[in-house]
Amino acid sequence: MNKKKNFIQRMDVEARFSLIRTAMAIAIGLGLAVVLILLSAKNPAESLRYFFLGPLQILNPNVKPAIGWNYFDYWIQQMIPILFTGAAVSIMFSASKINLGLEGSIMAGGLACAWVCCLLDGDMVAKNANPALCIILGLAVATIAGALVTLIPALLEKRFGANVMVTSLMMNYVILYISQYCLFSTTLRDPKTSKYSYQWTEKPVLTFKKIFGTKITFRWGLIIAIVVVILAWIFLYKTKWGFRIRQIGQNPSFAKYVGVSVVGLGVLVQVIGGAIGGLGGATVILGNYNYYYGIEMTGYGWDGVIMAIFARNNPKKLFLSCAFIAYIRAGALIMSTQPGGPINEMTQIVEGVIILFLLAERFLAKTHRKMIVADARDKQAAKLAAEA
Amino acid sequence: MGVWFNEVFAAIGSAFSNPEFYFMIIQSAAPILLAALGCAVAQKASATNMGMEGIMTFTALVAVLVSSAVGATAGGPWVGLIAAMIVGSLLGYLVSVFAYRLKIDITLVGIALNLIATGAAVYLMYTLTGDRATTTSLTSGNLPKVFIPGLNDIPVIGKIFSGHYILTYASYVLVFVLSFFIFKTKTGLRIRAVGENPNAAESVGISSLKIKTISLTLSGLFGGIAGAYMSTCYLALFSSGLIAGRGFVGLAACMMGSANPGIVCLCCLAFGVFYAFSNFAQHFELSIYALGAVPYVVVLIGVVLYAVYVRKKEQKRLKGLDSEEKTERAA
Repeated sequence: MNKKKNFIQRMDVEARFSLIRTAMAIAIGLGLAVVLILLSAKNPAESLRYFFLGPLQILNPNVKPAIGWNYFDYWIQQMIPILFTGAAVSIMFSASKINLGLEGSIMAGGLACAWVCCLLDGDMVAKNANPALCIILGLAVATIAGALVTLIPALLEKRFGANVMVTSLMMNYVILYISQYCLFSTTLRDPKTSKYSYQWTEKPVLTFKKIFGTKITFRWGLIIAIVVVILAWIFLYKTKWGFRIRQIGQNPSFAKYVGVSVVGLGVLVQVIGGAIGGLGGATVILGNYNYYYGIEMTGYGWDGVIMAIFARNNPKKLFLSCAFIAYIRAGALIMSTQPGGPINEMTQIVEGVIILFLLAERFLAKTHRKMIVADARDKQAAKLAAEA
Repeated sequence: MGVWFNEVFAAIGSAFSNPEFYFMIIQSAAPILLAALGCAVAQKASATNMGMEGIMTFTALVAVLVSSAVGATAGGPWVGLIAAMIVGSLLGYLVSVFAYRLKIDITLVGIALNLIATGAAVYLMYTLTGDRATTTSLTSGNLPKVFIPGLNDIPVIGKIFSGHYILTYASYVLVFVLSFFIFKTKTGLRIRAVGENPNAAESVGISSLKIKTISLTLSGLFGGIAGAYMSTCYLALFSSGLIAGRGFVGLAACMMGSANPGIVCLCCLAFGVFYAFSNFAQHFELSIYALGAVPYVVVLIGVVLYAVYVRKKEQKRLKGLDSEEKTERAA
């Protein structure tokens, strides 16, 4: 019995099984990705290389990216919005509030931020305000705008009992059309362009290319996103509010019985989620563009659901999950820019399949049972040995 | 602002006095209706089919691909429709497998299905046709339009009710068929029983798993018809943004109509009015982007009104129970 145990053997049986199941789900997903690439690529070996190693090409000085940005940066760029939305959905789903209005929050945040920046600075008002003021005010207004979008369905549910899932879905489309209206029918649009707003600065303000003369691009967005995720984790797991919220998610009747304000906290989590979404939308706009362009759905709201499922509503696990999904997406994007490469939408299939297997309770249920039985037997044997 | 209002009133006036507008209402309500009926049959078994959007997207592509493979003039659209129905049923069945056999929350299954189906549709389109956005390179053709003999010659009514695609008529006929199925057949009764109280249904020997599987498969079948409608009637091609939330609007209509086919149909027609108007107003140089939001705002308000109605009804029922109890006690 004095055999040294490695870290996997030292884990709790449930944690070990969860690890195995996640690994299996990811393996199935990646296997599917390989099959999809082999089926549609003109040059499969090349495509596979770009898919799996593309984002790391920064290590190879001979590779020149196709679109002018470095490939490593694709990865970071993909990671930022899903960190935000993952944190937002984790908080909302922790209280079992299926508010799907995050897509609207992101758009509203981007739009509000763009309005503020255009009014303060740039070509629209022909002024040159301090960019720092622009950023801070823009992010603040975006946060409020994002919170409003999810607040409306939440209040409609609280006051009238309207199904929050349906109303929040409709909110997304309302915001989409409002955003199109603002861009096309108000003074926001730069008359010189067909579908872009005025520019507020010369280049995206939250991004610094080639810091210290290296190839690396520095993005403030990533820092903000990491801070938000850490705060979300502290909120959910280290405060009494978070404890109550998780209690609501696990058993609303019990939570109500012990005196937790189920309805009030339900509204609160949706407001917080929307605020994070709005902040994320503004960060994406300020980090990638110096103008506003929002005439279609971003899809980041749905990504939030995927990330929350990956992280099992625990923001701490978001870092690894987001890094993984962003890596796949960046790889697929790089692969699809090569001539004859498969289309990058195939990642949606891979992600969907992975989350289905992650969620399936009955997937690998036999292995689970066997592991529990073996674990119990081991413990029993150890106990008997100790007694003897 | 005043000028803008005048313009709106002018547009409304000319829309409602134009038979084409009513024609458009019937036309644009049909796909939402099909989606909503699909959601309704699942909802009756208390299974919320969030995956309707994905089912519609994928089956729309299937219809186009099969149709162009068979040949647009050689009855391709019909074969496409049947293929879409089969694929739709399969997807609906898959939802039930993942939700009830593998035990995943059905909302999340729907979200995953939407993700997979939209991704798979674009992937297939790109792999098979080489196009990223639309299938304009394929000639897939439309299903035939029907001009009803006697009706066609009546001045205004003929213009409104005649000359629709055959699937448009079918979608309104399906309201009655589904109504009959849900309220008058044995399976329909079982679906309602499982939806209202699965434990009670189980106690009299109805397998709730089986009933939910049946209703979700049927839901997928309707989704398949709706998808085929979009790509063989509404347009004769598939594009990545073709469905544009119609599956979700269908779900909302189903919720508003408390999953009763008749009321659901009325809700869809109401949405149709606003869809048609936002299309129609494009002739009037109104700022169409603001009008695009109108149908969704109306759905939102509709869902709220329905919730208020349900709550009132519930209160009334409780009051009724209360007063009954009092009279009993008095007696």
